[in-house]
Amino acid sequence: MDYEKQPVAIDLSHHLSDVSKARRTSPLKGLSKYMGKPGVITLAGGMPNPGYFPFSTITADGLVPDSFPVSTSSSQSSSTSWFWKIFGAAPRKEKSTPLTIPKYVKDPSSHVNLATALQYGTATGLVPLQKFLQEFVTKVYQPAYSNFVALAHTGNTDGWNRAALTLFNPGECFLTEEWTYPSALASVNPLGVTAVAVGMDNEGMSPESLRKILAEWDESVQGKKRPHVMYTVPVGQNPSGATMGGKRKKEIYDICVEYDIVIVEDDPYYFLQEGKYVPKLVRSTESTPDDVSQYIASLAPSFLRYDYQGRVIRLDTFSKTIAPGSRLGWFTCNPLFAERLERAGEVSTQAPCGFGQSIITSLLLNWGFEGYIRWLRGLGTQYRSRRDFFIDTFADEFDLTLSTGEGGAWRGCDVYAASEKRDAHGEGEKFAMTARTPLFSFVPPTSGMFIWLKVHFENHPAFSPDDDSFEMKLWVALAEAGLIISPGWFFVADDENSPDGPNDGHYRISFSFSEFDELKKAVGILGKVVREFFKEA
Amino acid sequence: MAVNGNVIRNGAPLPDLSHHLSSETRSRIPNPMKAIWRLAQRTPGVINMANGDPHHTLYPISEIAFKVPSISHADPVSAWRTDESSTQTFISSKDESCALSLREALQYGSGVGLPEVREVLQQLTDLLHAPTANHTITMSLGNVDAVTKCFRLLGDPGEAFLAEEFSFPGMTNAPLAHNIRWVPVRLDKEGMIPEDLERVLRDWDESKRGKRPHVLYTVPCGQNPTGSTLTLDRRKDIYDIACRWDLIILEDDPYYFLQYDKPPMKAEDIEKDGFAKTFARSLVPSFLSLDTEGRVMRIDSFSKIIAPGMRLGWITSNSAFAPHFENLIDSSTQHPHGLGQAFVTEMLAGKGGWHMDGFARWVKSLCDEYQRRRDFLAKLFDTELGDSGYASVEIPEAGMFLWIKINIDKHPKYQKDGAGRSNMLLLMEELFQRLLEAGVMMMPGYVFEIMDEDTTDSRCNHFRTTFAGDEDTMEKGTGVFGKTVRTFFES
Repeated sequence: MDYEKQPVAIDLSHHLSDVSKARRTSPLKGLSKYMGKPGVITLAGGMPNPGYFPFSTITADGLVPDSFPVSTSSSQSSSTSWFWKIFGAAPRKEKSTPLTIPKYVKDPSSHVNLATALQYGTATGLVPLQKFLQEFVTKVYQPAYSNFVALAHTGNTDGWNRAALTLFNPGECFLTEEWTYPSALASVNPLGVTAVAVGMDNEGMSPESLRKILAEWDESVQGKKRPHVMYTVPVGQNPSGATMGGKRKKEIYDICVEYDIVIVEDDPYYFLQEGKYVPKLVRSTESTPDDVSQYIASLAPSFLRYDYQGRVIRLDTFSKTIAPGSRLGWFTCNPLFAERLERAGEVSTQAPCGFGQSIITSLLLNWGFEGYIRWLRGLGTQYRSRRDFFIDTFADEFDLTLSTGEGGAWRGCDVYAASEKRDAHGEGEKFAMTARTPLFSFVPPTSGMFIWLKVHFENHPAFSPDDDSFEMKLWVALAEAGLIISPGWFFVADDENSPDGPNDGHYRISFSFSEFDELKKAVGILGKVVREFFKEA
Repeated sequence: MAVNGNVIRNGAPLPDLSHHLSSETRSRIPNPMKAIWRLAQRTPGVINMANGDPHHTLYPISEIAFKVPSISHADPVSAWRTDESSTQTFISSKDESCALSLREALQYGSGVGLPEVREVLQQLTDLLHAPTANHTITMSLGNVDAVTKCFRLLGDPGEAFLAEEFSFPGMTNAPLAHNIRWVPVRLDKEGMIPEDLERVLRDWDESKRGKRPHVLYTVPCGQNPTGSTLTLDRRKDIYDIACRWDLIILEDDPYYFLQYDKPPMKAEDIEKDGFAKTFARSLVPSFLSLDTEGRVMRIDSFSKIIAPGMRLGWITSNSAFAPHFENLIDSSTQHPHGLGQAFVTEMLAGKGGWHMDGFARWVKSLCDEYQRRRDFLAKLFDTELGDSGYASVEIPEAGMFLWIKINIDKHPKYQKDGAGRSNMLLLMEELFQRLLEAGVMMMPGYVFEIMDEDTTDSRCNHFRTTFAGDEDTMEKGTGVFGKTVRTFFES
């Protein structure tokens, strides 16, 4: 891509919060420009001599990029046999590549070293990491403007929190999907900042709903100025699992240009794009394209692809692609926002941890860009297999009926309604009358880690529309039976305009963490508890 | 808010200090995802499918080996400085047994830190400070992060906090953006002056200046930038004032382990109580160790004793404040990175670790090394300017900084008008520029200055210099400094 022909970011400084505008450059950091001056002896800073760092090297065993296959295995005789080969009792010997991080190197700007990584650093991250990220963003996300900046942060919670402090004044509100990630709300509520819920469908946020909210916004009625920030999880939307395609993103972006809205794109599940769920019996082997550019083209594009004005703050994290405990991620945004976000970092997290930065950077440099892409393809395939396995297990436990969703967040989605298996547990005859009544429905996610489940409490014998206690009652019954999942009310963006129908209970179930036998056991518990729950009068 | 279960170890209840919390803190609700996560942690055998944690087989790191100095040498830091070949190795592993498994360290964790590392730091804190009141350890990302979190926990916009009149702006800048201002308390070579603290509080007119400050920020050892260290008597006096005026003390103590000119440790004490405890007894007691009412938040860091790039430290606070830290962390920075926590746990409690005594031997040796460097710099200074009358220093008892006073009133161009206003700042700026041109950079004192609210006159005729750099730098830098100062006064 020829970045010289791309536009530069427009001036969006009017979006900065008062707190952000008031942030001063640390006077010491301001003087640091003198410190780099050749020939100036500095006795100014309080940096310890790296000779005192009690490390000579740190070594790590990194896995090789092709540790995981890039195709799902097709219809096996036993649905689980190959999983047990990988995850079964005899642990597979992992193929690893040794990473050594020395204390000193000749060229610290291109080689990771402990003397730099463990020293006080600027809040932007190690230089070799910055270079890698800049290349990665350019090749993978392909921003539509030229002067974007990749800036390290300590994970997307930190990223969102810093973006919020930089953009919001107390009492403002922001646009987000009607079902949203609760931690994003918890971060900003104490700042007096609240969410405005935008309707959803099978691709996540709905442009019609967005436009309606903005066009009809009346400050005198709402008591607040029109939102100028959007928070969205466009891939593997949390909790719904929806994936927003390119065309939809372009539509939403254009509305944001029209109404001058900054988009915060929180995208941890970007490389966990799993595609449509296909039932086991008709499923064939799925593989991602081997060619790097074809693989990248096969992914839903980022908002950055359409961002010709620099109004997207994209949050990336290594939490889902390397490990959450590394607490490392990065912003991609325009230089003005990057500078303010860096100031916000200077008084809080400062630079991300040197151990994590140096080990992850070494791993990335060892793998190279193409190696990392290969790792991501393998990882995406793992999650696809996990998702397929988990939903297959539902099919074993319940009778599933497929239909196309009609209203609300499920409009246009493949909806599976689960009812009690006809002859399950030898009780089929006795409960023949109710066996076809759906107990719950779900939409298999197209990306991410979660299944979003809707339980049909209207089919409960003791149901009354005035009683909204069913969701928590079932949650408690599940917890007591040994299964913890997330209750749907967590994810309601705006309590006063809840998307939750009075008859529904929602739950978010993660298939990312558990062992495969636990996933199976969990569905068993769910089946048993839900069946019993629906029998209680 | 009651302080349930929050008792002094001898059974007496602590005062309720919840009125110190900011309105932001009070309105903060627990992050529900983390609440569920904690529930799952507490329930053995439960299948947790609530959180989006990746399976550990999907982490591309299986083992990390930290090659560190062998602690068997009598003076491990000097040995390490000359030869980095004598080492031992702390190993964190995903599949082998270790003090903190990488399976856990690489996972999402609790905002306050992983239980293993908090447990070892609790032991370390008990050993060093033996706090009397019930305290809880919360991990931080180093002192800047910790201090900023304390400010957010306690401060409301429009309030004023107290700090030493010269303070590190990297810290004191943080709350300014949230509209919290600073009120200076005078200090001398023995640190903050209790009588001046008392004066500020006593003379505070709430009708004119708003709410009386309820937070005191202090760096009690090797104060940055002045290098002063609070004496025990002053600490007692200040703590007493804090109790009478209901202050929270933020004890930011990164240089605690770098206290100099201590009496030699006795072999029989080391034999009897171990190295760490004997070493701790040689140091000036912390505010935390004096804290009978739970009003001290102590902030510790590994930056100066292990490496700053670790970005890891810990806050020791009254247990009643701890859940508020947790809620703030869960919704802001999240927990500290797992690798630093893994390292610290292996260092202090791992099979091949240093353990408490080995760690104390490292920091004691480091302290001796910095003391030599302080003496080296002080001697250089004395050689260059000692007899000139143009500048003087107090020899710091802790930390990394030498605070150089320029006797600017002896400068031929120095003027003072009838109202007591002088051209000191202009002359100091001129000297700073001259030093830069001559090729040496020292931190001008005025960047650290917190002005009284009713004046804009600088009282600062100082430079902060450091002995953290190498000998060669100190030697050359001080040489240029001496020459430039002489020329500045004499031409």
